[in-house]
Parts: sequence; C-alpha cells; structure tokens
Amino acid sequence: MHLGDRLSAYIDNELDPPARSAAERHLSDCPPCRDELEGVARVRLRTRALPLQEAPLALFAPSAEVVALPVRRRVLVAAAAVATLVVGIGLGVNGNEAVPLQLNPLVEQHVARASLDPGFNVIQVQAVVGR
Amino acid sequence: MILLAVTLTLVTLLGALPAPDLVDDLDKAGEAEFVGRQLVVCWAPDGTVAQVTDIEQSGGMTMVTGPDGSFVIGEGKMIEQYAGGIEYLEMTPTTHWRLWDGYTVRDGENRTGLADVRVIEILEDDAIRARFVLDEATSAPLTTEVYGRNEALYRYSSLIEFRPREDEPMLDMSDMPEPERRPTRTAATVPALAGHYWAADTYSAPGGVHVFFTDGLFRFSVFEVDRKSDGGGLAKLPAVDIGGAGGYHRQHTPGAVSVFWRTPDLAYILVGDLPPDQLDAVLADLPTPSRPNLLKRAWRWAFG
Repeated sequence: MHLGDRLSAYIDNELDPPARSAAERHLSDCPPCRDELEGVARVRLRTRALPLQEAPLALFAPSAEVVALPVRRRVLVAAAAVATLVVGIGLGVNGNEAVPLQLNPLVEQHVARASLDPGFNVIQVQAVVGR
Repeated sequence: MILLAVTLTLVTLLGALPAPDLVDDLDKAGEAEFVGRQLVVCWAPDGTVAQVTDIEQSGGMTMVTGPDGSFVIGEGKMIEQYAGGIEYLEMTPTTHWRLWDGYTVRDGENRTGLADVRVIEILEDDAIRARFVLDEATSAPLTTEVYGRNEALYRYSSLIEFRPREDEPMLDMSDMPEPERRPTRTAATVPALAGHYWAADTYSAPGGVHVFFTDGLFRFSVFEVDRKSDGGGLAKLPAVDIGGAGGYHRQHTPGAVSVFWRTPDLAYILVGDLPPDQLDAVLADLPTPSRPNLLKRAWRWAFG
C-alpha cells in the first residue's frame, strides 16, 4: 500500500504527527514512494519559483499596433535616386514596413492537423492554449 | 528484378510499420473519457514557463476552457466557441501516421508508486526521449515527460486533478456549421526532410503555405509567409542564435515553441512541440535567416 494522496499532504506538512511518522516510516522502506516524493518535490520547487500564469486562450495576442501600409516610392530623377539609394542602403533601410499577420489562425491550423496523430492529446494539448 | 522490387517494397512497408502497442496505447489515451486540471511546465532555453488548464476529454475530442471562452480539438477538427459564434476548421491528412524508426518503444517501470498505471517509454539512441504514464482503468494520460539532450527534462505535464467522465457527450457535432477546410498544396520552399522529421502534408494557409512535419512522436508546422510579415508579433521579440545561426525570434509556451525568421524572399513561422536539440537539427536543414543583398534591398526600397 503506497502513500498516494498522503504524499502530497506530507509534502505540504498537512499530516498530523502520528500520520506524519507513519508516512516517514513508509518512505524509509518504499523506494517507489521515495521516487515519487523526489519527483513531486522537484516539480514543486521549480514551479513555486515561477509566476504561475493563468490560462489565457490567446497567448499569442495579436498585435494591437496598427502598422501603416507600405508606401511605394518612385524615383523621378535618376541621379537623385542613386544618391538616395546609397544613403538608404547605408542606413539599412529595407524599403517596406512590417505587415501584421495573425498568428492564431496558423497555430489553429497546426493544432487541427496535429490532432489527427495518435497521442496528440497526450503530448500537445497545451500547444493549443498558446494560440 | 521483380523479386528485388518485392523485397524493397516489403522492407519499406516493414520499416514504415508503427509500433502497434504504442499506437494502441496512444489511441486509447486520446479516447479516454475524463475531466481534469492539467499542469504543464517547460524548462525552455529562454526560461521556465508553466500553466494550469482545465480540460475535458470525450469522444476523442478535448475541450480546453479558459477565461475568454473554450475550444475543442481532435480528429483534425478545431472548434472555437466565443461570444460572437463558432469557428470550425477541419484538416484532412494525405499521409498515414508512422513512428520514426530511430525511436524505440518499451514498457517502463512504475516509478510513481501508483498502483494501476501503464508506463510507456520512448528511447532515442538508448536515451529517454519521452515517458507516458497512463491510467490503467481509463487510459487517461496522467503524466507526460519529454526529454532533451542528455536526458534533461524539457516538458512535464500532469493531471493534478482527474476523474473519469460519465456525463452526456461533450459536444453535439450535429449542431456544428459546415467546417472550413484548407486545400492541399504541392509547392513549398522547405525541404521534405528536416532533421529526422518528414513533411507529411502541405496545405494552403492564411497568408501563405503550411507544411506539416512529424516524426510520429513530436510534430511541427512551418508556415511560409510574406517576408514583410511581422510573424504575428514574434518579430518584435529579441533575435537569438539557434544552432549557431542568428536572426531567429523565439517564444515558448508550456506546450509549444514558435520561431520566426526571414530570408531574402520569404519569412517563416515554425510552431511545434519538439524538444530543443531536435529543433536545432530541424532549423539547420531549413532556409536560414539572412537579409537581402544590397542590390535587392535597394530595389525594394525604391519600388516596393
């Protein structure tokens, strides 16, 4: 008979003294329970150090910033254009501003396709939360 | 000649056969009926992320509920319910699932001390890559561990609350509107093999092309989009080096990694659940980040 739920209570110091002593006696003789204790304690230690996130449905929130549409430029005077190009290239200008893209539909498409694989729900259900 | 062809065909077929027990176990896990709360922790290279989510699984579909609404996934379907209505996407595969032959499947020891569980371990080069602990009675996935290089724990998920589900069916599909479907495509710039992953399907996607890669255990999608795209906001993240190459923008959620980068002609968004050492190998085989040469930049600057 293993500790089961009492292991969690033991870690949280919620057992009364007799139950705690009994749990410690059991742990000293039971390698599987010791392994579980070690695993649970390790995860708790690590997770307690984290700011636990709530479960938002859209971690990849679309950008609220509205990016202006690219403006096409025309070179009217060849010489002026060449000069401007040299300056532009020197400044690392790409000529076009970023175009906003919604990530959520892409992630949804990935997740929908992935859900056809056996084991998807085992491994990757959390990926959806990151839509 | 015919004998050779038959032999080759047999070898190919045998090599492509999935591990039957694994398929059976994972299928059962996907069909388990339960309600629970899941903790997922990912020790990612950029920092540790964790999340707790309420989930409900029934009829091969999983419902995830959060403060802004809920969505249901499974069997190629993605259904999002929100205040304004329902979005329903359905994907159709063109290839069958198989497990990469570099993996070995074995029954694991019950290290957790739980009485009635089934432990499955996936090994790569004799090193643990994934471990599943399934409830014997319901096949529910109680715990999943994913390991990176040197058997370092990368992702840990566990049902911290769990009970078998005995209610009415979770979802009445007869009420659903007609799903949106993505047509398949053949053209893509990414190779058919990346790391040991193979491109299973190629589809149209909003703003570009979608190539779905898998090794049977993990999976990722590469979206080819306009190089001017902001990657859904990923471009605003600091650029990082991955596998010795710079220019990547990376974000981890507990269950997935997203990477964005640009080449002179296209931008790419990768979304998947693969561990970091495999991600390095994959990115090494995909087009690498680079800027257009001076002439091309000048042309684009002048003429758009």
